[in-house]
Amino acid sequence: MREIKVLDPQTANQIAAGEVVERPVSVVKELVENSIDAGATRIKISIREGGLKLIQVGDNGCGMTVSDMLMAPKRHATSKIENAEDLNSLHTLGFRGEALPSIAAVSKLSVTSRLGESAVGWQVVIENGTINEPVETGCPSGTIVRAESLFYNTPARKKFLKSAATELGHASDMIGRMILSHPDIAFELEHEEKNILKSPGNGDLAQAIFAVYGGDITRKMKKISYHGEEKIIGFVSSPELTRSTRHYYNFFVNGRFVRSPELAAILEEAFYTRIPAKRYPVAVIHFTLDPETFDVNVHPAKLEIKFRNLPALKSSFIQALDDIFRRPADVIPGVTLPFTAPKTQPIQRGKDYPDQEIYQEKFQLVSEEPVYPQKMEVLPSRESEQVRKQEAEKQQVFSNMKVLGQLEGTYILASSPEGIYIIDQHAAHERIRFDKIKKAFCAQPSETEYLAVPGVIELTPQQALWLINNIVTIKDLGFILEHFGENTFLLRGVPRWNSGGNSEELLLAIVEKLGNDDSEQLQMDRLVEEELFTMACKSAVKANRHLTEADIGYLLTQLELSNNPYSCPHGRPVLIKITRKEIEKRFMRS
Amino acid sequence: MEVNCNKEDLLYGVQIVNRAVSNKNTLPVLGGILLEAKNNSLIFRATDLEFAIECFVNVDVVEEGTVVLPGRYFTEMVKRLPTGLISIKSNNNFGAEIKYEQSELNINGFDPEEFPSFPETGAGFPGSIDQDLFKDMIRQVSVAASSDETRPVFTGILMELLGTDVILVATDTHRLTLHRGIWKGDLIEEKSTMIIPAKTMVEIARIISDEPEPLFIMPGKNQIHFKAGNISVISRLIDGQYPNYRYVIPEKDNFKTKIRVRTKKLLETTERAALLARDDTKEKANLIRLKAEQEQLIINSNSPEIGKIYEEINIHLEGEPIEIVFNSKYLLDALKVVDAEDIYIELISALSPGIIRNVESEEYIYLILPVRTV
Repeated sequence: MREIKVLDPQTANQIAAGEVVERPVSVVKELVENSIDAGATRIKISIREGGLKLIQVGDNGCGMTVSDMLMAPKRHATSKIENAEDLNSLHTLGFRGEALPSIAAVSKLSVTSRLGESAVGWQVVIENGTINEPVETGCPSGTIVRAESLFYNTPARKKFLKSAATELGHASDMIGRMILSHPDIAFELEHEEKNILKSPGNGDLAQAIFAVYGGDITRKMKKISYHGEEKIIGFVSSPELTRSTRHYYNFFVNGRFVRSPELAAILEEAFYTRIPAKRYPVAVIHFTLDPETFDVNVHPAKLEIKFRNLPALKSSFIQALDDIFRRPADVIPGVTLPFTAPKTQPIQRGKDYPDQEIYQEKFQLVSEEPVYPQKMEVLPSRESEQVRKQEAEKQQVFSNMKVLGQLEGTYILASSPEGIYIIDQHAAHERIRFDKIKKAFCAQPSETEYLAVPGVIELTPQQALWLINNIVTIKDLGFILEHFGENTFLLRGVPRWNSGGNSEELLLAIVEKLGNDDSEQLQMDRLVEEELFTMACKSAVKANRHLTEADIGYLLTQLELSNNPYSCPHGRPVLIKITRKEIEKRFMRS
Repeated sequence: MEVNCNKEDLLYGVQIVNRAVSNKNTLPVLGGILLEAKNNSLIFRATDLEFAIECFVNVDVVEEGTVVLPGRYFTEMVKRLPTGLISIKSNNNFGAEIKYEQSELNINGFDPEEFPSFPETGAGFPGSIDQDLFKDMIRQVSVAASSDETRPVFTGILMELLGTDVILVATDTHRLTLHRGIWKGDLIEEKSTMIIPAKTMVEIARIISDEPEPLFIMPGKNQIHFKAGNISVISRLIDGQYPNYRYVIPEKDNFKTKIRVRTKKLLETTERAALLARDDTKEKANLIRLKAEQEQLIINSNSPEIGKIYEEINIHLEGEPIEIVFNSKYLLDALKVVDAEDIYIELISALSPGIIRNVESEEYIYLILPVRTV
């Protein structure tokens, strides 16, 4: 039997660290929260290799004295509370005094800090649990914390981490929430020196939402506010904008992000039947509550929250939400988009990275390869080698086909020296119809229907600038606008093809598109693509219809003439091919 | 409750209020028709909370009281009852026993306590408007109201009362209709404006009389009450700012072209042209080109996929010749409701609003906007 021993401090710290520092994002979170508690108004986060190589958080906060810097990395050393009583009236984000020691236990940590009023700063390096002597150094006022080689001494933990992209996704997600929780702080997140998120930090929640979610979402958010015992302020999407997960729920209680099934349930109750089942609204809501009325000390990650008087909070919240539905036609009042709008959309949840890997893996497993393995859409306008090559291939594809027959009234079977083709008759006809309709549509000039009662369009200065810069394009699309002073425009005429739709909304979307993406050439057929799709789809031959040989022949000749015969307008394949090689392989002929 | 009445009276009442019966089953009781026997009359009432209709007929009341019977079944049943005397008697389960000839029918109902009460409205405007006139006004104006619920004010009809004027206006922003009617009785001193859902107005037009009988109007805070003989309609008002239509309608002096044409002739031509202008990509807005020169109106429409049409109509042209393009739907609507042998089409230019009206009166105008083609 083994003896019972007291663990040495380093091991104890490593074990304890596991609770606080689960993955790189936990480090980012703890450090950023420290910066916020230090009163910073600008926080810059730099990450390398998803945080495994480096996490650096710099702020312009109050800074630390040398003695504080030596105390901070010790367990349960905190400046934020003094005794247990203070737990009931927390105003800071951190309070347990666990963050820095935990990070120090699993990484090579250095803290550089300068008090606002002192001339020089100090740097302290902590390695393998030992705190080195502080060194005098020059640095900007504030604090910079660098955590390098995370988990270098806990290989087991390191093994369980996902790819750098996943870890970065978590971090950008977290910083996104920080931006939403602190619209008054300017955040900047960089990965490998590339800008990923950037917020203006001017205190405007709408702009913070814009920085994180972009214009499309921001425009569809509606302001809610309630001032009573509890103060509730925020933005909730109108029912037209929904998401397939609850990931876009952002509840902040006194500036702290919380996951609260109770609040989520109230939000969903308000939206019940207004949005489809299994769809969820986007919400960014700040609750300002008396610290006595809730308890956050339930979990070290501090995401859970317990309310002492949920029914009261619920009635206030429901009242606040009611506003959204009471004014169905209202747009958000007072949403302004910043001048310094990021040109690139923020990376969303970082899921793009792993997906790509999985997609490629999956792809190799598919043996019946579609005729066009790489690109679903071949743009006819793009003059490139590839297109011309595909053009040549296409010529062969359809003229070399020999029709074998029809499968279940839905697919056309054909063969060529290269293999067997299966053609989806609906998709094929849809493609043909779409090409034809689109051609007819584009041939018509953009006619304009004049309005008897002009619409008044109020834009932000940024949008107004975009509009003026693109006024010719917009006019070509069929809008007639009149400048009505400042950033207000009168809509006097709308494109005829949209006369039944909401033209003001369409114009806003176009302005937004033109402003956010200079490179994109807006084309009319792109804007009405959906409508053209529907027309094509409705007029195309359906599945379960038997076709004569003449019908099939017509389809194939028409496909031959199409610019992109390989996919239907929705992007589904029109035909798949089973190559001769594949068939031979299956029959084990070599 | 117990009443004796004849089938005709019962059917009349039921059919008048039937349109206000809610067919959305949110509040089940709203699917019912309330029958109240009181002072020798039988009152019928139905509401979907948007608007409510009430009417009464004189019957022999044996016992006063109230029942609420399911609207749809009751209406269909009454239609199929034999002509003659019918007796309705409430039972203890909120239902009613209906006796006719030697037969008896039992129908279940709702608790009358749950049925919304008819809201009170203030004193009416002093005077009235003729029902037949108001009916025509609604019919001619309501074509231009929008059905797009995202902009509620445009789904309503604006009613303005001042002096001896009753003005109705509707617009879906693409065209605008206005009809000025005459208020009979005392002058209305203070201008009163309200936006009434077009849907309700159409219902009012349906049930009021074709004779110049008086229609009384009683405005409330959020409701408006119309009273025509034994019929009352109460509607909710649409909250919001209606655009100032006066800015939209061009001054008389601005018109440079005045076309006088046979309504029927132009309507038939437009219908043919519109038919041809419909193809895949144009379904939503069929264009029709009008060209007026000398004493001819040339109507043109073409569709690359279907074909083209060219027609000539004799007109009387005053002012400058013109060529203008309209959305045929808007032109058709105007021609269908204008109610005139001959109309004037008054125009300023190919890209400015025009007016369609009866040559004999200026009470009703239909403002139509052209389409700019490149």
